[in-house]
Amino acid sequence: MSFNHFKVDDFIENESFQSFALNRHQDDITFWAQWIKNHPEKKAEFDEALSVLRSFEFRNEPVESKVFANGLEKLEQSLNGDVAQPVTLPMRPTKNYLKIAAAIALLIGVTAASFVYVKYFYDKSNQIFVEKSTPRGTKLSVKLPDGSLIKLNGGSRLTYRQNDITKTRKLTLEGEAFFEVKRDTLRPFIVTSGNVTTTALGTSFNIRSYPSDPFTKIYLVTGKIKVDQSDGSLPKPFTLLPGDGISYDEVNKTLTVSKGNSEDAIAWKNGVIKFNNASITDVKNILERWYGVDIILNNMPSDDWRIDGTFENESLENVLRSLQYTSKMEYNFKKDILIITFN
Amino acid sequence: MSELGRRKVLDLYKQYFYDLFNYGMKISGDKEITADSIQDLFLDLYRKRNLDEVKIIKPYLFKCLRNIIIDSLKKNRPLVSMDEQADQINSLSSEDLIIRRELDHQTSRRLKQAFDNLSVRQKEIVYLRFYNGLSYAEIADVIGITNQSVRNHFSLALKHLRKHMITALTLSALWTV
Repeated sequence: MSFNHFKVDDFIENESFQSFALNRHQDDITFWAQWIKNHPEKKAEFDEALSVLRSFEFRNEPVESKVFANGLEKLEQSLNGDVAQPVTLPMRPTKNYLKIAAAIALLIGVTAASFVYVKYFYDKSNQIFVEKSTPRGTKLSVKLPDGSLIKLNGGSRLTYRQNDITKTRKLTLEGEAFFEVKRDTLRPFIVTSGNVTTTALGTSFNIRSYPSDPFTKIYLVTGKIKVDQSDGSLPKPFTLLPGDGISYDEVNKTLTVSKGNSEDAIAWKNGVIKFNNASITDVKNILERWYGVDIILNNMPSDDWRIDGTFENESLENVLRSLQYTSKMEYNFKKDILIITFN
Repeated sequence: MSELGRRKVLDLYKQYFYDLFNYGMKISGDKEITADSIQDLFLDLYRKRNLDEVKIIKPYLFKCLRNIIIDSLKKNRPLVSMDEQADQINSLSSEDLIIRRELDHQTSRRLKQAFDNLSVRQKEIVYLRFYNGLSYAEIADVIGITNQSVRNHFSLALKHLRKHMITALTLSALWTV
């Protein structure tokens, strides 16, 4: 079928072209990208049609996960023939621990289709930017066009230019994610997280780079990756082998390699919280991101307060109670804010 | 005829909830009605239907949800005439529109006004096409009109909006000079 006679309106009303303009289906994207290369004389009309189609989008308010969770609970009970009862997210005192753990596990296990907050916008060079982010307390699996899989932890954000992903596989990460990169020696996979750039060909690794933490931590599971400072200022980039971990100090701008511990680095993927010599600030940050709750600390313990512990698919309630065994503290919830007071 | 298992219904809920909720909100403007309608949709699915004949699930779910919401709205507004179903749906507005180009305030306002001036049907079609990527055929099925009708509405809608966008394009071209 020939599109040579197409005017702007024809492009605009063509379903396949719309799909290309709005980045819906790879087939359409590939087709039209190639077509315009073969028909440069249609560029003016082509671009105008593109511009019109991309001029606006619809605002979707993010849906509170409570609405989803309540509905799910209600549906399950109805399907069981029970009387439906609304249930609030299990962070408050309740007797049925198994039910709490199952509900949290359900939330953690829910995949991309439900919790994606995806935004598309233009950057200065008029290219399409994709941003996928997770609110605290949720995780998200993202699959890239090349088949690479990325699992985002709570409170994280992944951004990339639509073009860069198909050509060179470049992304930016803020927060924490586990990457499983499909092998492609022609297109290096490059992640920028703060001041650190990680380059991979086909491998799996974890990057932890929350803006509020002074450290960026990277842990390699399989394959090989190269780590450098984003401004390329290191005399020589570091190469990591499986089992290696690297820690970048954002303040002093230093990189330290160490034998990493996979248990600690990637436990989050499986719903496991690990406190490893964690300070109270570490604990606060981890719990805030994991459960999506704001925490206020009163009467903080001394600087040498540290804690170790592993929690698997546990409710916040249980984690707090466990902490109480080791330290004298009280906690209560005031309007969805958790207040922890040490004695 | 097989009935949908409990597991399958719950899986579908988890997979499509957010798209369904957003669509429901766009057409009803009401959180409670939307949430309740989604409940009814999935219970219905479990009790009566099977999906053997449904090839693509999402538009089918959209269609069912739409019908449930319309019935629900009808109950709340019993005095409205039963003319066009579209009359019941009145929620998409320029409030939901994000203009992605850098326009001056006036042009942006006119573009949004242009959107508000679209018929309810046109708005819904533009939303389904642009936000959910439904094909013309699928949209026709969801709303219950013909494929040609969808194309006509869509074409008219875009022409209407374009009148205001052209101005915008010219303006932004001026700026970059």
